[in-house]
Amino acid sequence: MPEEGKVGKAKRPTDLRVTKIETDENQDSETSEAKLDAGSQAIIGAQLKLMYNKICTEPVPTQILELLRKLERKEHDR
Amino acid sequence: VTPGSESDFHRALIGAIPNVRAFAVSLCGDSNLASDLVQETLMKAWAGRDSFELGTNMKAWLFTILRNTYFSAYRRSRRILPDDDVRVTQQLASPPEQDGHTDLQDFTRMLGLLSADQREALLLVGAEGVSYEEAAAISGCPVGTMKSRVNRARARLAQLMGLVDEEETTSARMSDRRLAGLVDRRFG
Repeated sequence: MPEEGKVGKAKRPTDLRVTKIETDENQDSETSEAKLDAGSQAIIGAQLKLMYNKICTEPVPTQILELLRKLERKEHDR
Repeated sequence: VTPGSESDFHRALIGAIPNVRAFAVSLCGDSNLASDLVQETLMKAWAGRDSFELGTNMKAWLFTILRNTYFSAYRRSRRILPDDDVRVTQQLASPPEQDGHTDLQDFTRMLGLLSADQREALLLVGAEGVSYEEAAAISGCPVGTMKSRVNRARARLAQLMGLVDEEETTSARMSDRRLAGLVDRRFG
């Protein structure tokens, strides 16, 4: 039993191991490989989403908005 | 798309732009090139809007156009991130830490070290959150290939981020006995 008030040390990602991926009938020859542990996957997923969401929240460049306006105008004039 | 549904199409198109742009920037690693890529994608989508069925997945449709454009034209022009481990590693602002914390810029550079196929797979499944089946349909490959690309991309990133060592990430080729030996040496 852990002592009261003490928090157990978090498991380091490096303590985690690779396990073999299950066979899937859809898998092809590329897939007989190792799968990362859940902890490492979670870290990578979090970094990936952080990077991706940061770009998603950036304002859309004006040239892209201008292009849409041009396309609309062109359509309207037809 | 009928004339009456033109505004719905337009709304859906505009709504998808942030994600399409994020996909483009992350895929090609260059914001100027990504901007060209998004514009070309939008022009193609606009020209082909009669083939789009409203109510279906606009983002998936745009991703398909964008990745086809990228892989067919832009990639050939070599204006993509080079797969040069040494150069990119030297550019890292800080070495990867054991706790998995990586500077966002460094992470972007590491992503650039993956093959374009693996990067695309990881972005679709890991960042965009689409299913393996949908990602496979977007990329025009079997579901098994998509799963394999995602696994390999994660394994490579884990190695670059210092989450696992080289021996672990190549354990795909190891027998179970060798894997058990590695575990014993490390934890035994």
